[in-house]
Amino acid sequence: MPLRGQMVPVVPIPNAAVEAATSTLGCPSCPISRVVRASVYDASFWSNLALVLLPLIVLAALCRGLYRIGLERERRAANERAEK
Amino acid sequence: MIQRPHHGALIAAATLLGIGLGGFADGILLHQILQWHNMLSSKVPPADLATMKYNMVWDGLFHAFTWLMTAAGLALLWRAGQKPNVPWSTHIFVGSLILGWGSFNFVEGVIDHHLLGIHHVHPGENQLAWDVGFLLLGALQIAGGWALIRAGMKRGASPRGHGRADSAVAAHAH
Repeated sequence: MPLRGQMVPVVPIPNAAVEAATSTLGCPSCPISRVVRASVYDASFWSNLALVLLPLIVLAALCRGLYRIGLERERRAANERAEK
Repeated sequence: MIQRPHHGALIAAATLLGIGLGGFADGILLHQILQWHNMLSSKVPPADLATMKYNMVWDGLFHAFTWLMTAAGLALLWRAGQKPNVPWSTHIFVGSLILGWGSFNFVEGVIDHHLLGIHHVHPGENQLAWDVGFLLLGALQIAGGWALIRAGMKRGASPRGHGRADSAVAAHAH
């Protein structure tokens, strides 16, 4: 709450944005949010999730491979020692 | 018996962290600040509030899993820090972070932009140029990160704990 006589900074908002905001509210329980939730969590949810997660699955596999650096060499050296 | 150095434990941990941090950099800069690169924007173009919110949910889900990658990287780093045969090399750590970030850009770019086509870096005119630039950036990061890792491995950092144990013994002797 601004004090009396204090300057309040004015942020210019384009008219188009004001008009859009009055016609499309984005609050969590507004109709538009319910429509969005229903369309996200519909029958296509799992296939979309698989698409979205595919790069991360590939990257996790890459890290698993990187973890073996040093271990293979150690295993090979142990095998050679055992053969001798 | 002196164990051989297990570089992979630090490389895997820092690469996972790099993937996570790269994912967050992508999310903060490209998705939120610039409002590009939204997750399912080729399937549902963000043209109004509803479609923007739809893409925002999918961006959020992707970044939730990116957070899990970061947490896993942190857990692996903690575990690597407890093993005496894991060399604690700054070159390897920073190189792996860069490798992870580059891998994120490259793998995400190849799969999402080129194979699946679910979104593009900057949809519209010249989207292919943006996508290819994103791939090139990733490839450069991978090459740079790998070069740093190789340099760190060549420097031959002794397994952690040995030097410290020796100096502790020397300090006692004095």
